[in-house]
Amino acid sequence: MRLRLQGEMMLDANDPTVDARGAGGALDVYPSTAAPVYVPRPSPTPPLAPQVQPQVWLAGENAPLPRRGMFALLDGLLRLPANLMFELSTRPLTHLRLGLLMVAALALVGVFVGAFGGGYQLLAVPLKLSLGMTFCALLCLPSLYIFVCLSGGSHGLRETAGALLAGIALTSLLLVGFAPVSWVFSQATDSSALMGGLHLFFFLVSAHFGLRLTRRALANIGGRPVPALGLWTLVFLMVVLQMSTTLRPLVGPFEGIALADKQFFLTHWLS
Amino acid sequence: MPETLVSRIVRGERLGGVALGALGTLCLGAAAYGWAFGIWRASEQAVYSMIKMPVLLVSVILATTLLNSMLALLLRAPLGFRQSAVCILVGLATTAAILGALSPISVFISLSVPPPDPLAFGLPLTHPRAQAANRAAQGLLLFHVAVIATAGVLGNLRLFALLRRIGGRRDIALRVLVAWLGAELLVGSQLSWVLRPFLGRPHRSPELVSSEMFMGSFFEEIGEALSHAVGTEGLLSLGFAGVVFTTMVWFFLRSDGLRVEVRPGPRGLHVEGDEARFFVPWAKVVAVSARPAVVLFEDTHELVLDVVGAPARRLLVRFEAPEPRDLLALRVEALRRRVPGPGPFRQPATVAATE
Repeated sequence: MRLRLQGEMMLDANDPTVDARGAGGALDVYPSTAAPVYVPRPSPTPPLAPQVQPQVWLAGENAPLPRRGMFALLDGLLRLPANLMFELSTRPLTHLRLGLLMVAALALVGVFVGAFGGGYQLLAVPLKLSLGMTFCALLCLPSLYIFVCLSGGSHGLRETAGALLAGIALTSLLLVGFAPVSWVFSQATDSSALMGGLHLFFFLVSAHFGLRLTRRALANIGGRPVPALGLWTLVFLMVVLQMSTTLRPLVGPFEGIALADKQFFLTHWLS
Repeated sequence: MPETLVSRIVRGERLGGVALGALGTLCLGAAAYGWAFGIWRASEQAVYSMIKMPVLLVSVILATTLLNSMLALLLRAPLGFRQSAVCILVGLATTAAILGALSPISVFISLSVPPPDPLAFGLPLTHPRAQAANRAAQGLLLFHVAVIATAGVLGNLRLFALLRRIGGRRDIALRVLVAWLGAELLVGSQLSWVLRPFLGRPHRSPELVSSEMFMGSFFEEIGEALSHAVGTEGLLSLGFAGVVFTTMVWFFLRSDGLRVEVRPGPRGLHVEGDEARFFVPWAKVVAVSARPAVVLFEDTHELVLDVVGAPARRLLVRFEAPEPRDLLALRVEALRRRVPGPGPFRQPATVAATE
């Protein structure tokens, strides 16, 4: 039997050197061979208040997705992100399936974007969007992991990658939703500037929701928000925008398979 | 809003019937107003507009339903894809029904104003006769825009009421409505540009669609008109002023606390916000007060909880009536006073608030 003092020390009542005599809740401790030593009752030490950490809210439960298949992933992204994160952490193939969903969604978006230029753009733009976004994710994953670790998180690389993948997959899914809207405009105008601005606006709105999912997923894993994620978000957006400039033209006619001249994205927009 | 309709949409039962009914109402109402729209120019134009108005509304629905259903889910509305589609249909059907009801008035106004000048037909727009005839057309166009805007506002108020009944929370219903409206306005403006003319021009013959339907866009036209009016620098200045104004409005109207829902427990408050849920022990609740809040032309009643050691210093709980707010305030105060210890101003660790 172990006894607890009103303090920090633990004593074993089976220890023959210990003779516990309670007096008003305090334990009198003395060695067996010596005269009893009365230990005054210590003043009550207020217990430390528990750290009240917010639990970041992800819809759903910490359980597998209710259905199987690709539609289950869509459901998870839109309605049950907590279930999706559970699947990402317990089933290794979920990363691959989510990656395929992301690539397929971006390829579909690329078809709608390329419809503005027509011709070879219908093949080139889907390829550029899906490969380009994958490359941006791989470029930014190490920095995300470092930011999370420096913020005191105990996330593993796989969990961080899963949260990032979920966010980008949701962004891609929303871009698919915007695709009919952009198609309506692309059929009625020749202005690359207008279409480029429209696609940029749709991307920023989609990225807001996607990166919000990443932020909440990381906070849910660690049990608290990750403070430096706002800065990383800006970095990620900058990388994606620069990648879109490097892989240009996305909006407009096909100009060959070689990469265009190097240019900063702001310079390209203002030119 | 009929309870049977709301319950059918919530349960997702027999939505096909609701959708068909809404679609029929939409087509009839929009066709009636299309007739009223085009009757001033000629009966031929009235027939063309009668066909195009329902086509416009249905095209907007087809282009935005996928996006709007995803946005509804992301904004935490309890709506699946079919339910979102039906809600959008019901909203636009209400607008079309109001338009159909107002169409006799629009026909009356159209036939009361001076008819198109037959001598202006075939003249270029720069001709003074054509310009004079065009001015009358522009005045009538403004009238039609005002009627359509009014019907749109009423239809969307109805849709907002439906979303509130389904979702239960006013702020979620408002977010979903704003998101849906943004997408529909974006697509609708461009589609109405593609399907022009609806009113018709006095110097041109009635036509089903313009020969330049796929040339240019609504926003390019607006931008060009503004650019001619104020110049490129003026346009940039207007854009900058718009951004500054929006930022100032947001800054002054933003909430001074975190909007949450609370559940009082024996040891403290269980709090759930949009971003997080957490627990606040009673000893960390510094003050409780009540105040009115004006949110988008509607009075709301707020319970204000000033706390320490939580993700936000001020928690705001909104109510539609003052009585439940006051009841919660009394309950919170009563539970707070039962907590022993000096309170949060001295040793917040005195009370072991374990949950």
